[in-house]
Amino acid sequence: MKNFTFIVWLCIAVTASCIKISAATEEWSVDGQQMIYQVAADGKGGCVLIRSETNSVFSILWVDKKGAEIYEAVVSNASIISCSNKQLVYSDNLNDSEIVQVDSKGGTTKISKPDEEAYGSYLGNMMPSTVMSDKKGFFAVKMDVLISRQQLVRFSNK
Amino acid sequence: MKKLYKKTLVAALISLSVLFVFAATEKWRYTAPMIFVQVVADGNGGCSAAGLDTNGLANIFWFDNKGDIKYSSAPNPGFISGIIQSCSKKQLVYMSMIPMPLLVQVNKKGDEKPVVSLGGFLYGRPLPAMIANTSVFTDNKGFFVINVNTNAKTTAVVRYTYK
Repeated sequence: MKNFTFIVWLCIAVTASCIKISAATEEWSVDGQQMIYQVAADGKGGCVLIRSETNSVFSILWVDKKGAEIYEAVVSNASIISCSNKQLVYSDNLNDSEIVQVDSKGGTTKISKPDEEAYGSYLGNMMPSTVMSDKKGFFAVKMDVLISRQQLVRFSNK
Repeated sequence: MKKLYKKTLVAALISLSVLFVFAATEKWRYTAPMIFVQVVADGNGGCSAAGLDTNGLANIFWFDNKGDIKYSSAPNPGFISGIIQSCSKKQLVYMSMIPMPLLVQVNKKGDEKPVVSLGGFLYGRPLPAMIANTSVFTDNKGFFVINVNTNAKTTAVVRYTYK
């Protein structure tokens, strides 16, 4: 009986290790609320996303390579323009049409001109472009069927 | 009169040489009886492409830098334009709809593995981003285009180098 149990556990362990070796590995995830609209990888394992809650309040969330929050803000008709691990730039229309530049400590600089509306990318908030991968892994939107909410999941390639 | 001919000839030769230097060169093409709607360059001269066949099913192809097929998928139902998630020379990730939304990871040998996350299903790109332009047509040395043959009702993925 002991031999049988040992063999079963050995099979499970071997199968589990094979699965881990052959497929992408989930590293972390963040709450995507009701729906994720745009994702941009920072190229170093982190990313920024725009999401909306069930009451249609939109927010932007920038996380590092471990999924820890760098910056979060409520936005309206926002569009991600660029993202690296040092800087995030996005357009926002919450108060006024403006470009927001965020440093790696979460400090913001707003760029706007009184006679111009800064959209960033044309129709960027309606048909957003996405960057879903970097050298070491990729991001995927997950629908959590138990709570009917979305998550953004980080996978390493191995 | 001879001088005029000479000048004209020199001008023509210069024009031709300039044209030759700056003209793109077709390297390879893949033609199929389907509509290619997404091309994602791998950054090294190859690419992946998603095509809609005559049965309305999506087919994914992954080409190396010589145009040889490294991988081709089974036909997928439920086609969405942004089906290819990412592509490099080492890895392709795309969304399959068999039997539900499922991400598929393909290695450089063409072996496919499902990408799974407990408690839900993965569909890669955000839904609003699937209707956007999700193609990547260029790399450092050239570009890809989708050509349509209106007589044969085929489309082709064509690789050009810049020179």
